[in-house]
Amino acid sequence: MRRRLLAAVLLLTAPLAAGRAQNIQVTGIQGVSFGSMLPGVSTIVSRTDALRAARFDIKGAGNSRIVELRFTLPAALSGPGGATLPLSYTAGDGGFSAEQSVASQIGFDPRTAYTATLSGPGRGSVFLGCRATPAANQAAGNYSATLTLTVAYLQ
Amino acid sequence: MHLRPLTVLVCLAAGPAGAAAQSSGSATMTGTVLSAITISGSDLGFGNVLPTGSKRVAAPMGGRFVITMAASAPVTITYALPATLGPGVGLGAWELLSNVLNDPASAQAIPVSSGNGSFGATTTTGTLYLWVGATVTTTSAGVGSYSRPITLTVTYN
Amino acid sequence: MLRTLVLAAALSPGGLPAQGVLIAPTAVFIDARSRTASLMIVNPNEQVAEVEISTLFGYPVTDSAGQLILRTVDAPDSTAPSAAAWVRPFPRRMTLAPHAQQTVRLLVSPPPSLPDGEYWSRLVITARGGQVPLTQAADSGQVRVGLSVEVRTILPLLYRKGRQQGALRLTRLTAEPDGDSVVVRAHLERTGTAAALGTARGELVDSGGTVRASFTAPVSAYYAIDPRFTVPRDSLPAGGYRLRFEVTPGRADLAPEVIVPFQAVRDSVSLQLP
Repeated sequence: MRRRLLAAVLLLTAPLAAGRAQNIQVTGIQGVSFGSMLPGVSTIVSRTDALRAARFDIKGAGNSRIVELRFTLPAALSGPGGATLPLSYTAGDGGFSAEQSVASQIGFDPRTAYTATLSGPGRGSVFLGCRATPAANQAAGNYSATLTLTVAYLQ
Repeated sequence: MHLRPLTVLVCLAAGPAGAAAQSSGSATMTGTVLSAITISGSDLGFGNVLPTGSKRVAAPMGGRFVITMAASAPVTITYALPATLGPGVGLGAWELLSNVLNDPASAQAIPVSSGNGSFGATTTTGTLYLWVGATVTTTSAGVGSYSRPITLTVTYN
Repeated sequence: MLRTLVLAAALSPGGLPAQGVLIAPTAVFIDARSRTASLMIVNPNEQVAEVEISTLFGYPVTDSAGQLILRTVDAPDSTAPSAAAWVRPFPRRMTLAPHAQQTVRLLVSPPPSLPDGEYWSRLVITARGGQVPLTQAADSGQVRVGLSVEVRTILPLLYRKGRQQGALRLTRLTAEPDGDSVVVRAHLERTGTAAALGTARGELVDSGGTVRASFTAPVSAYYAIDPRFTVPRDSLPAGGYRLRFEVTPGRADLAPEVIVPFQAVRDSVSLQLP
């Protein structure tokens, strides 16, 4: 009877511990901030720009888990009166840092999924740069868009 | 036959352990486009002219100014067109055309009574094109090069 | 023997491409708490541009035809709300390489005892192309001199100290047919402490209450203006109409936060289209 009870407890607790180990938290720290832009003049934000680049922090399970990073990249910012401002991305605009340091990143193409290894404690940060290209007659005003990062364990 | 409690517990506990975790986070990208005005101008060339004679360059073939600004922005355009380029070299019969499209053929003629003047302008497209032409008349002018600046002033009200 | 006169591409040397600048923003608002602002100047062309910034005191008025013109005052007296003498741009002169940008800092240093209110200046940004070097034509001894096209942009700068009160008065509204248009005139007078920056709207309404034509235009009443608006008549039939006119605070080209609000003004007049 005691053995059955112990087995039941072990079986109940094991998957709960595995559920906690599977949890992964992705926090958007900041999006790309283009600041003031001029009509007809492109603005480029580098992924290494600590003030303006986008940053997401990842908190997952320990033991250097491997994760897949996938951005949902907006094609344009939306502004006054329905105006849109085109955005573009290049192969080196994504960056991953297991040390969570903007100065220490491995670049990747944010337009496709990227496989990364979290740190021992399960941490990592993802950075993003971008180019905004206002038209010569771009409407003045504030523009914005939502950037999403999805992180999934691969193992 | 009824299931023993241990078997039931195993079945209930096994389910969640097989799911892979995935999570998403979002952040907002932002930027502010400033209101701006761009003005550029290109030259009006007459080429070679006889010491006594006249030559006309019509506005569609002449100098061109392009103003890019917020649609319907209130601006006043002031022009200063020289009357002479030097002794025996006069300029006149100024022609000024304005259009929101890059098409002098459908442009509106702006009355030019003297070398200086102004007119109000707005554009629904955000761009305004101006073309300028004139006639140069020479009277025993000396051989040499002659030039003066055209000044276009755009006042944002 | 005929002598030919070589005219350098007369109003600037032959072959010099376009010359100009991009300037942002198009209106500068500075408050007494910060006393600074910045201007961005970009050379969008392939040639070097020489840019110079100066200030003057001026404000828009209307001429007899209702057209906006800039009234400038070279030596404003102490009663004029001029900020021109206090505004200093840094740098004042610059040479911009092709596609280069320059941020110009504007610093306002008003007199210490300045009363609350709104004070005006105009920024004059002059852009010229690089000078064509003097050359000596070897065969005839002619000297060729080239001058570049000069473009000037004049932008408003408004300095505000203390809380401002906006107010506008509308009088003398008229609407008369004129050829293929209806010409609308109005007298707009600022009665508050800040320039009235707003949008005028007019609607031509027929006897059945249907709007048959309309117009929208920005207005800037620093003191008083008598602007002229036109409504296309197109194929409107003869008969009685009513012109409804209003001016509301705010303009599409200015951010809402820089507008000192005033109570909208409205009026209407009747007219007969022949």
